[in-house]
Amino acid sequence: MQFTAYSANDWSNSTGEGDNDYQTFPLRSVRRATRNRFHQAVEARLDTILVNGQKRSCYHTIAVLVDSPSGYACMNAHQYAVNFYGPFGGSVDRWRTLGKQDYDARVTQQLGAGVITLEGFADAYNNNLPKGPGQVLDVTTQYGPGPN
Amino acid sequence: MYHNHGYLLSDDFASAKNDVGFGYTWLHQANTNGQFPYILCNGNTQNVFGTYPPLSLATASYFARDTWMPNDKFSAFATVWVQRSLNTISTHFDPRLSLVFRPTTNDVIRLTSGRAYSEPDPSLLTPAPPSYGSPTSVNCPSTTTGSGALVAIASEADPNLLPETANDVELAYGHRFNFSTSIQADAYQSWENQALLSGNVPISSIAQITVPQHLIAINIFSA
Repeated sequence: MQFTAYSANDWSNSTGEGDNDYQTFPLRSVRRATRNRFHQAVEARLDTILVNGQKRSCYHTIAVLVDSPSGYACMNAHQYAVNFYGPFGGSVDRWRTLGKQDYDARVTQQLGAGVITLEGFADAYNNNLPKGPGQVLDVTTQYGPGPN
Repeated sequence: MYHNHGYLLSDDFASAKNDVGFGYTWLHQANTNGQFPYILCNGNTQNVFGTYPPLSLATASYFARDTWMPNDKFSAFATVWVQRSLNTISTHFDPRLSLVFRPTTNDVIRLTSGRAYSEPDPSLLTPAPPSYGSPTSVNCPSTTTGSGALVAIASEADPNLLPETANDVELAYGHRFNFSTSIQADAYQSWENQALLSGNVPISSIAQITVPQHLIAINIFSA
């Protein structure tokens, strides 16, 4: 008679761990400042985006689409980092679990000239990757980025 | 999320040159997935994480096996399966035979042939509310407005699917040069039948189906 059991489970809060997608304010700031210096050298210090089909450019700063009458804003690296640091690509209520279980029971018995085997198993694989709705910018929550 | 269970009952008889056995197995798999937000069959969305009704796959099989080793140079392995696919309501006879010949202590030749089958994923078999593409896919692009052109507007399962089957043959040779070095050569051919393919068909050719009530039940476990 043989019985084997295996179970492995883990849980993680993905808002800032496990996904490598939590970008801190200093990281965002440095990256944008570096990119800005590169663009200033290559593209005559203009950052251009399309806003309602029209080209809009920012001089020495970063062009960002915003919900305003003009449709865009020019941000320096600090302002950009304030608005975009946090769980990049993530959302609130984001967590994950992974569980694997396997149970097996086996009974063997000599019966006459033969060996009878009865074996049963049950196993499970659970992988949950729920995501909540996207975080609204400029709204401070325990999960998302904040403007402070 | 997968949940599997099953059992096996077998009886084996061993002798000096021949081992023979037979048995029965039953296997069952249930799988489901969850989504946030949870979309109901009527198209309404709820901002909770919910799981869809599980789909299952089950197989009941009888088998017999034999290992015959008349001498040190030759051995033969045979298995015969009679498998009942409970989802496709089809029965499959799958024998397999392997012959192994060792002309010297450093050479081995293996010849194997058999038949196998693979069941469709239950999501391909089970009628469910059709999943429609994005609205842009419903609008005929200009390049497909000619007569006979088909534009995909939705996807649906086919409850009449049968398992894929395959016949295969394999020849292998192995040689050991010394204690630490050996070489293996292997050639095989497989013939696949009833391959599962997706395609576009006129909606008028799809028979009307009724989605089972248990597959459209709301199953929300987290709010």
